[in-house]
Amino acid sequence: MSKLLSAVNEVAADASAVVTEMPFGEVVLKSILAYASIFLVTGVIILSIYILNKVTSKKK
Amino acid sequence: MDILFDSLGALVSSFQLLSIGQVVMWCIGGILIYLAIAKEMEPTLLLPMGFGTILVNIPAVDAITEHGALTTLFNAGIANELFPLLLFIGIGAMIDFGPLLSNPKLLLFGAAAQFGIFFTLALANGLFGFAVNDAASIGVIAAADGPTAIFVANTLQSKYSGAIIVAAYSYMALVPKIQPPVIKFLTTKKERLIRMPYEPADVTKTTRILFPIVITMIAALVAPLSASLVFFLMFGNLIRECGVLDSLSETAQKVLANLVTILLGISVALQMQAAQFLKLETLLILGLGLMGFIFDTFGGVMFAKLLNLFSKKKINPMIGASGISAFPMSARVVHKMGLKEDSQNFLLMHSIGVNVSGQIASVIAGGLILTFFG
Repeated sequence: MSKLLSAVNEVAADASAVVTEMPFGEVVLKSILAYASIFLVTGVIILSIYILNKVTSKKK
Repeated sequence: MDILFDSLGALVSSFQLLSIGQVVMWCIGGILIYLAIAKEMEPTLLLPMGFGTILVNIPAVDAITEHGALTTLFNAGIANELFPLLLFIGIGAMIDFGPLLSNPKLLLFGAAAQFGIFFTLALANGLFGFAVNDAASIGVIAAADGPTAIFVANTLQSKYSGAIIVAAYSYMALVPKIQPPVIKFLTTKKERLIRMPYEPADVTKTTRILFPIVITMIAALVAPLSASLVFFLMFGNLIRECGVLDSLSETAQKVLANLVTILLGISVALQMQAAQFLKLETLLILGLGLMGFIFDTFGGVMFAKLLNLFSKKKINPMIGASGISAFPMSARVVHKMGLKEDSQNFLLMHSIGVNVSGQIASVIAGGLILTFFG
């Protein structure tokens, strides 16, 4: 349990450190990846909505 | 005699400390108040911000000391991102996701219209040399979502929060001025005349109730740093849709939203002190924010045009522009433009569906910004 807690604290500490410098190439790449990720996430949400609509309308 | 001079000295001491920058900020505060009242541009935010700007630029006021009222409010609600999250409860309670649920593909336009965020981020960092955390925060102006902009800027500890928030809310109010010329530039007359009949699919109450829960789980699993934003937005929507909490829903939409907006507006003003705000970077940020909105519109419209290359059922590309999260202004802009081209072309339900999808997409974008650049 204590190992788990210290691992969580380590991640939280890393998360609280803000990145200020990054090579421009990395910035561009991450921007493209992040933008593409929005489509990925919305794709999953669209699928979920279709499934929800199908399941709930079947129950009628 | 000494007592008299000392007393007079105490009365004028603030005038001696007054700087030209602070006087300029008074004028800026006055402009924000004018825009709020005379032009009705986002008055709920710009009025308290404008008045707060005047206050925080008066020398030696106690409100901005370590334990002053504005500092306390700022620490209580902005520094820990609480106020924007509480505001999201109200916003979620106001939104009807019905048009989106009956045509879920509209979410793709919301995603496409977040292009401006990432374009602006790269521009701010690559061309203007802003640090990555500041560039990312500036990019989020283009999310056209005040709470998300505040949340991301504070989480990334951007030193330009004040300018970012002013830009975000000002441009949201200027959407009816910004978007139409961009849309017209990117589309042909023939494209603007495309009609889209509205054929709503039935959306069950169960779907409406499960939707906010499912979305929260998906978004939080994929981008855990967006979990708070998504949760509070969807919680507001859930209390609206569940049907058993009408009084809470009404409270969230009116009392809570108004109360938090009042506190948010005046506490954000703490960032509007002359020393922090009056920099060349502020002008750059305002310019970059505008670029963000323009390229959001570009992303949404071009995505719709791209889909038209492959789709038998043509989409009016103007609806792509509604994917910007400025709800409901962006939807109304597109609807009005459609009616102007063809008085029988009613695009409102499509553009509303895209507009609410933009709200979801902007929150996800904010979370992904924190994930990739935090």
